[in-house]
Amino acid sequence: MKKIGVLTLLITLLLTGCTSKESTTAKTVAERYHVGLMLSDMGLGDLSISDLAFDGLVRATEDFDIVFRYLDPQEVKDYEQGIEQLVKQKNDVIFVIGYMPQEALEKVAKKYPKQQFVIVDTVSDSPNISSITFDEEQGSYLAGALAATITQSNVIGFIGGEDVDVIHNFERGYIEGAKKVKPTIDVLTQYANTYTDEAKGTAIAKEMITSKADVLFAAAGMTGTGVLREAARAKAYAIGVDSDQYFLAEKAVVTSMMKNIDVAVYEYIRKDIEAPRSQMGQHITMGIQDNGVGLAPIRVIDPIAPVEQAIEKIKRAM
Amino acid sequence: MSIQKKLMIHALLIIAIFSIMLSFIVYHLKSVQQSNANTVPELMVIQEAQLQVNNMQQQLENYAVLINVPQDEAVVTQMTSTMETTVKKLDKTIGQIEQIPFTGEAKNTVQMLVKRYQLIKEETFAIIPTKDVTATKRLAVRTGGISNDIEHISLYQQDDYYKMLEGLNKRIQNVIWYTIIGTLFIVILAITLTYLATRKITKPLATIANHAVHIADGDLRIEKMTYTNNDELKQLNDAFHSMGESLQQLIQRIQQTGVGVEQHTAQIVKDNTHVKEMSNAITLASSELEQGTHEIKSSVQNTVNLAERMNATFDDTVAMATHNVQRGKDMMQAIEDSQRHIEAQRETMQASMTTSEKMESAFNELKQQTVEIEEMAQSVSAISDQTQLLALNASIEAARAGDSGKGFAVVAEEVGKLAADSTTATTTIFDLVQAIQQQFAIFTTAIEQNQQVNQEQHNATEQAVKAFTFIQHKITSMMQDISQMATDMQHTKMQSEQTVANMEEMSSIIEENAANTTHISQATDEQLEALTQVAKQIIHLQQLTNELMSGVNRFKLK
Repeated sequence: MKKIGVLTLLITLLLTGCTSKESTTAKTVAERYHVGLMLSDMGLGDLSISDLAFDGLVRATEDFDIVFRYLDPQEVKDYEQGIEQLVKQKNDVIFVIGYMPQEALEKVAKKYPKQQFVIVDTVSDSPNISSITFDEEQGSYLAGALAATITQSNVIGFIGGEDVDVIHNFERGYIEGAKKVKPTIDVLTQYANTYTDEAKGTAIAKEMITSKADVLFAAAGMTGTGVLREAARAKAYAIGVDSDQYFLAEKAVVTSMMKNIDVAVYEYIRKDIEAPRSQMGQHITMGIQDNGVGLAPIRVIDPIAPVEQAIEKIKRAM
Repeated sequence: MSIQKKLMIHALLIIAIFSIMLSFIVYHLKSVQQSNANTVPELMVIQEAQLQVNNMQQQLENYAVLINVPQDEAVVTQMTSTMETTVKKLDKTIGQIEQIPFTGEAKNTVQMLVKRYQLIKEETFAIIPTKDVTATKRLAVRTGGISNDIEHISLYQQDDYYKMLEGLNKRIQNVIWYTIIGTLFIVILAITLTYLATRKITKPLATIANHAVHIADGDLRIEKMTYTNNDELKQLNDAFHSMGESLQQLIQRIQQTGVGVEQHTAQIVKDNTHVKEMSNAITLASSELEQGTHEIKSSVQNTVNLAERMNATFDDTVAMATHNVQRGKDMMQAIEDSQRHIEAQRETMQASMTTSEKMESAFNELKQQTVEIEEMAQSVSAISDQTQLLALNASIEAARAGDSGKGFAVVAEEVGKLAADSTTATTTIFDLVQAIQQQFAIFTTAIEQNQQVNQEQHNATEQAVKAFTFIQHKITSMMQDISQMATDMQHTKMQSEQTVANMEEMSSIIEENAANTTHISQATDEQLEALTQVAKQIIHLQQLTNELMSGVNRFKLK
């Protein structure tokens, strides 16, 4: 009887030993949440929206069991082919950054109606394309408030790219923010009518600085780069846009109005993992409360702390 | 082969099977280790690549910072060479990653990685000399991009690794299952073998035990168990069986002995009864003998009395004979006187002669009768002898009283008969004596007649002288005869006395005999008592025998 007991115990131990398979914490690639990322324009290394989207995905990779693939526009024949390639790789969600691939995306989205797509920084009507935009006005408001805070001439400038609604939103927020801090402030506004003409940006900036503007805010793409560099040359302050553009003109760029695409991408993925496809086809606007927009770290000026405190105060008041 | 050896062989067999199973397990674990050894370096290569890419990214970022401000050229050169080293290392590592046999999407990713790396590498060598900060920064970001690719590949590789691990796990699981099954098999085998071995031992033992129970119950009709193996059990079986056989023989012997005892006791009881009967008969015979002895004794006494009386008669006769001789002498005197008157009385003598003749015949008769007496005396003597012999026989028979009592009866009868004969003889003697007396009376009468005739024929002398001479002779002769007779009588008397003495002796012997008979009777009583005791003992013996038999009969024999 005793022997049988020992035997049973032994067998039980062996059985439990082989059935209690050590649960692998790491999921297999197939089990993971897959994200595809179609970059646009310059692709990775643009030090702007592409890199932000990439950063968001890297952060998401750190926090969730996800796998992401990215494609640079240079690596594919065209956007359509790139996006389709990502579809075929069976991604749970495919992010497309910027307005440039929108047309191609909508074509592919129609072809793969069950595939979830997210387009960032522009709006699509396709039912399987979620749109994430940023409240430029709120971000610009902060930029205006900062400009008003640091101006000494009481004159600040705004340079827009195309004369379109989106840029109008920037302009409106910027003026409101500035007036909130200094109601008497003079805000110069000019549209370059191009996103890609750096020289034009330089020219407009030169003109505005001449008109005593000492803080310039450009929402004009590559045109804005000219503005920032001119401000640096003329020893004026400048505020970047979309991403932290400090590296473009390190002597001038006090801050940048950030579209936190990384946050947006991260949050979308987080929510989609929590409740799959719950956001599909929706238009999500990321505001200050979502940390979707904000200012890049303040630099260049001295002292920084009082300005930071002031901006924080304004932000809380919004 | 002994049981221990058999068990040892069983154990060795089990150990051998167990060793085979262990070898199987070890072989599988070895192969698991082997595949692990193949996969781990691949993972390490990928990790190495990851590290190197991260290094490169960091170095590019540092370089971007470095070239942003005016720097000592040496530092820049050093930085450049460091990056070149990193690139060289990466070349090697990426090459190794290319060697890993990936499939499907993972393969695509590797291809993408290689492509991007080649591009970055080219750009790096192009951009570094230009010291373009922005371009360097962009390059750093793109380097971070291939870091993601490597991460991706790493995940695939991990997948493979986990798949392999799973495979190994399954394999190990299988091994464990095989081990369990093997163990169970071995356990079952061991149990079966042990069971069989034990059964091989216990079954015969159970049979033997069963036989033992049978024997305990008294059933000895057990068959010898067939056990062919030459081991301890065989010895036990043989020993047990021979024990049973011996027991059976013993029981049979006891039964036989019991039956014998029963028969013997029955016989003894029978004999005892017979002996008792005999003893009773002896007792009876003894008493009869005693009685007979008494009778004999009284007969003998009578005989003695008769003999004494006869003796007295003899004495009388002798006395009478003496008297007669005296008378003869007187008669001779008278004859001599008569001779002188013979002449004268010759004529009367003639007459007297006739008378004398008569007398002569009478005397002859007397003579004859005397002979008969003599014979009778002899007869008495013979009787006495026979009686003596008989007495002797009786004493011998008395000694043999234990064997048979009948002899005594015969002896008693003989003695009785002889006593009767004796009596008859004595009566004859008595009669004869009476006859003699009668004859003598006749003789006396004849004598008186003769005297008368002599008186009457006194004259017839001549004849008388002759007659007297004749008578003289005759008387002389007669006197001689009488003397002879007296002597004989004397002799007879002596013999008679001897007879009496013998009779008395016999009587005393008979008395002794009677006393012996009493002794015999007493001894017989004692013997009877002893026999009763023997009977009791026999009954006890019978009881014991019965108990023994009933005890033994418990055993059922073949």
